[in-house]
Amino acid sequence: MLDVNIEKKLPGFSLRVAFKTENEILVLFGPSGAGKTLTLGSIAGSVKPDTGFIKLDDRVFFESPSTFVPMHRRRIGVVFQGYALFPHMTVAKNVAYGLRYMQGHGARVQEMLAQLHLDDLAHRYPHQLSGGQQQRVALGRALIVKPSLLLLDEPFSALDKAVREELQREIVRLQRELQLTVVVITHDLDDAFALGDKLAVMRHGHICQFGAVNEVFNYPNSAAVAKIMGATNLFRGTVTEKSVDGVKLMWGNISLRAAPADVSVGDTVSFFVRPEDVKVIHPDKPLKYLSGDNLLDVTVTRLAHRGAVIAMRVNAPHLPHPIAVRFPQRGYRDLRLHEGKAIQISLRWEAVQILPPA
Amino acid sequence: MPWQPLILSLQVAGVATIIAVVVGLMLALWLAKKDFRGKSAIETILSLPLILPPTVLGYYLLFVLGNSGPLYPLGIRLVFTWGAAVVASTVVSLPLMVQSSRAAIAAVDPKLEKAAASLGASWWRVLLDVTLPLSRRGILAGAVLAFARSLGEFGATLMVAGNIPGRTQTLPLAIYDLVQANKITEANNAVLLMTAVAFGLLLLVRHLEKRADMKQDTHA
Repeated sequence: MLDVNIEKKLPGFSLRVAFKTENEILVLFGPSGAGKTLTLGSIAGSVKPDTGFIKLDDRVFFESPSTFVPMHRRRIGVVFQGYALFPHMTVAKNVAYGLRYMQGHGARVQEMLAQLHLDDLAHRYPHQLSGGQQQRVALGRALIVKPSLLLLDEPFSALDKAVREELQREIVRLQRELQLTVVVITHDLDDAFALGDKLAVMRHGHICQFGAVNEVFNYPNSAAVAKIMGATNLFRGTVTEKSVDGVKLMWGNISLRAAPADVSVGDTVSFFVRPEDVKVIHPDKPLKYLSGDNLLDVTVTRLAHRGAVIAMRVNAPHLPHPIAVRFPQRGYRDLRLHEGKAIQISLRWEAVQILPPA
Repeated sequence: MPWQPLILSLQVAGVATIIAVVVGLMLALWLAKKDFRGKSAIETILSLPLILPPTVLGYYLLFVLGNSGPLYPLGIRLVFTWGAAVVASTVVSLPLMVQSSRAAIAAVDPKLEKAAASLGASWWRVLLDVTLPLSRRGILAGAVLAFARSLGEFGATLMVAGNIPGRTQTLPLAIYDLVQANKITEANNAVLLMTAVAFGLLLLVRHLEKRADMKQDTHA
């Protein structure tokens, strides 16, 4: 069990985080400057918090005012951003570094190299390796000392998609196999979903929301978290009606039906619709009109192809705010979308989510 | 060919370089790793020997090492000895050693040092396994520069060690005497020798620094 409860004040920034995690992958998620690296550094031992404690199982790494175990006595696996492989050592030497005082560690190094498919690269130097191979070496070097806690700082930031996905699976496999507690920093939502059992959304030096990844994604507890979790269409409206099957909102002059929420009539609330949840209506296959469909007539103002996905922005004089829309290219090709085209969109009521008041 | 002054020059420069490397490395580590009040003052003082006239340095050294200096009561009497030449050479070459090795140490990615620490390496171990090996070219370049500067030392040495043939007369001082005595052939030989040695040493420094740059690039 990793138990963290720390505070640290720096000029212009203060960190205050508390969380517990055990035998799972915890993702520290948030924009840069949120305090993720400072939190990880405190656990690793390169940063000394001002007050609080950091405990791993029965070991106390830090407890104010007097306990501070230096980094080299913590026996934690750390994979640094950019991997930080020793450039003057071969792959085998890098992996073996943590065992340098152990007699006959050759077999264990061999085993680790084999496990990470690095056998053929044992005598290469880091600059002769691809990004993915370097990442594997960094993992092997950190895991060779059999730590119970593994820290990863932006582990995939420099890798292409295919390698990234392979390594995400690898890390999940290693975590399950070795029963590790893993804390990983990322600002990439895909990484968070691929790795995370738990998610801690960080902003301005504290954790805004902590929970299972899906839970945080689907039920953000504030506008700030919704925004960090990729909810681009974040608006404000007034509650006009509340019933068992949902809420009615006034958004500018538009009445929208929204998902049920704990609000009262007259409240001004934040709500969001994910761009992926906005449906473009195909004129040949019109929906039969339902009040919950929140149909809107709009004009395409921006259109960008992102691989298999189309990212679009729509607007209309009666909309208080433009709306971002994302949808798969397939199936919409014959619509011949272009900037300036008038279309109809639907904000399905289940997807119109009202956020708890700040 | 004035062999005796050459041998003395090499001895003085050799000892001065060893001292400059040891002291300079400690100073370089301190300046590269620690932030403290008055750091710029220390850095400025350490660079002063590069700018000050050698006579000014010599004057300070005479004061420190001389009859009324703080070392005299301790029984350390170096003025007009071989040891004074070493002290003068050390002082003028130390800034070169400190600057070169400090830059090389500061260029080592702190993440590499943290990585070693996370794998159980103590401060000392990190220094030996990571910091020094990765900055060795800059350190070596500093040592070669310090040696070259020591070999060429003239002014401060003249002030504190004098120009005693066979005892404190190094090659640059011997050249001065040869020219004074109009022994042009011998002076020519000595001048060519000094130039060749200086050229060779600077070429070596260039080479070391270039390799160090290349290393930084491939590992960036």
